[in-house]
Amino acid sequence: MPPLISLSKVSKRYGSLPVLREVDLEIGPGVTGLLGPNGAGKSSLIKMLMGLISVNSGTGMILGHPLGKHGRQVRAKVGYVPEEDCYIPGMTGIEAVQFAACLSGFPRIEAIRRAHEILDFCGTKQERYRAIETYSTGMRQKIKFASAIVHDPEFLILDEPTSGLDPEERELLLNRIRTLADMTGKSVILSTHILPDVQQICDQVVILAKGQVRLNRSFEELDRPSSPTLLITLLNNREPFMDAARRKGMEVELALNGQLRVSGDLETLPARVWQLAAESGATIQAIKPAKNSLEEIFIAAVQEASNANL
Amino acid sequence: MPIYDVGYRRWSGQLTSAWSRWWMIAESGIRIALKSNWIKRVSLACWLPIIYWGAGFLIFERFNDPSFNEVVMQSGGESKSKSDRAARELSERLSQAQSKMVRNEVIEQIQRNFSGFPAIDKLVEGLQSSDVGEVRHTFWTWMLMTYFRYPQITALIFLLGFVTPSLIARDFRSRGLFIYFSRPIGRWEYIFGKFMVPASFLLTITTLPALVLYVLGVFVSPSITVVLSTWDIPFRILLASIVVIVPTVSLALMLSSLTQESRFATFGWFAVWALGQGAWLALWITAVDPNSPASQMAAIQKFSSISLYNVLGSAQSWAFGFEDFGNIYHNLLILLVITLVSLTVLFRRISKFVHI
Repeated sequence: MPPLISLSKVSKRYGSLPVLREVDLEIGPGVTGLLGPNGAGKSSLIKMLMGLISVNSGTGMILGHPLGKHGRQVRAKVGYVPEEDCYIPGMTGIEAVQFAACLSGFPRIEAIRRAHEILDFCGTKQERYRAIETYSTGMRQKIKFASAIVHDPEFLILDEPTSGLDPEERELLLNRIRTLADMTGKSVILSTHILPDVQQICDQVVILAKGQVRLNRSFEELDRPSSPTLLITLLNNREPFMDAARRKGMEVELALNGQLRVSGDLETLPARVWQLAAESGATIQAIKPAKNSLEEIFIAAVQEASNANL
Repeated sequence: MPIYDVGYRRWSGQLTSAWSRWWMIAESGIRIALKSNWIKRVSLACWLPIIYWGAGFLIFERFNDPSFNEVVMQSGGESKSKSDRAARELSERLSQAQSKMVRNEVIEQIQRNFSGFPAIDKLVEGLQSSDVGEVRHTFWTWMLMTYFRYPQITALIFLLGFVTPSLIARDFRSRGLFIYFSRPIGRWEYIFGKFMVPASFLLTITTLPALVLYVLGVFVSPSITVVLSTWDIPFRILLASIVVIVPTVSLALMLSSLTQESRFATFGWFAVWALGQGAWLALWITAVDPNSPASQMAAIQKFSSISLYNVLGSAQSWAFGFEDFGNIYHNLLILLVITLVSLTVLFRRISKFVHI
């Protein structure tokens, strides 16, 4: 399947300040996490994808349209949740979603019907009839999300969609995003600082730092360590276990949360670990294949960009 | 499929034309504005002057009504020998002379009591015509011009001061622009949609009542054929409305786009009118010779461009046919510059917000 978004050598400057530097990027179907520190160029990249800002150089295709052209057609296919707390004063929640549908070309009656349907999907109840100015941040976030999906876009760009949500609502929103991707085939870009959100629902991750794409891989590839590794949780005798493993020439190191990372041949490794535990008198609580930490990958990518003195 | 399905459903209906999106913006703006009781009250109050002007139309048409003249004739020149033809002719002549006297008296009264009103000389000149159609045309257009000039411009200033300042300022403040521009909406569509919000209110309080006055005039006139001699008046009303609405709404929207606090835009809006009129009055008082009416008129014309109110007044006089284009083209130019500068600033402000 061809990528939905493909960019080649795309650069953007605001005056003399470069915000995107020769960005090469391909985004396919599924949920893509867009990560990057503040000032990395994420918002500029999103606005560029939506056809709101022009680029200084580079080419690309966005949802079948050439980069920098047909901005309206692109926006008609995109549902966008801005990072900013934005609303139209004087409207109720239901009116805001209906208005968003009307702006996308829905007839008025169909828009109100659809708005109710989407607010049901988003778990908004009678508060939909309240003035939007009286909403909490989390409620407004829900209205923004509902407005973004009301016109049934094929592509969603969600900029910090979980900010301001309580843990339960956050979980529900992430589930909704995953449902939309799985059940209706929508493609999603999730721009966020919350790494567990990305880890929970994304298929692919793009890390942007200092205006450049530092990493663009699927989670499947990212999760896989460079060598087979097990993550072991011990209840006792951790030091004797580590000494015994080292004596037998196995690579072992202390990971986060007191867990141990043991590398070696994956076929024989579990049996050897059980044997080591028996020898050292350690009690194993859990053994699972180790995955790379997104946090470590993110920090490494950002540091790499800093070291490159961009 | 369940009756109440809270799951997500795909949608594949027919979308409306891309050209109708501006109307969605305008419609929602009008609905939000009408939630304010003050705006509703002011809008209704703006219709009150129509009673006064409507009475003017009614009195004028009663005066021109042949049956009314007959009453005058009967009361003034009734002959005792009605069957006598010569006596009857004499009676008619007498009544015509009396009618002329009454008319001259009325014209004199108008000249005396409305001497400070614009184009009063042209009104008097028109009323002296022997052609009833011409008299009617002159009187109706003059009435409508004064209707626009006095109550409706005042109403416009207040209504725009209530409706417009928050239109764009609040979108900046609440970042509502993101909602518009994440949709297939262009910047000009947004501006036009916002423009149509106050423009719709102004059409309702200026153009619509003026057209109602015209229709009232037609209905109270002796015959429907008066339309033939006054057919241009509805077009003049439309022209006068455009001349007033386009620059004032553009200016008010620009002021709204310059700030996130709508009260500053409101202040700016009223300041434009107050300062302009105040400066004009100050200059007029210092320049005018109280003993010379000619110098008064010269001073009015000399400094009128300082006041937006006077500029609009001149443009309206032209729209209703009381001024030649050559005399007021500089005022139209001022209105054009105000419109272009306001729309350019507005466009740039919105572009800046969206792009960064």
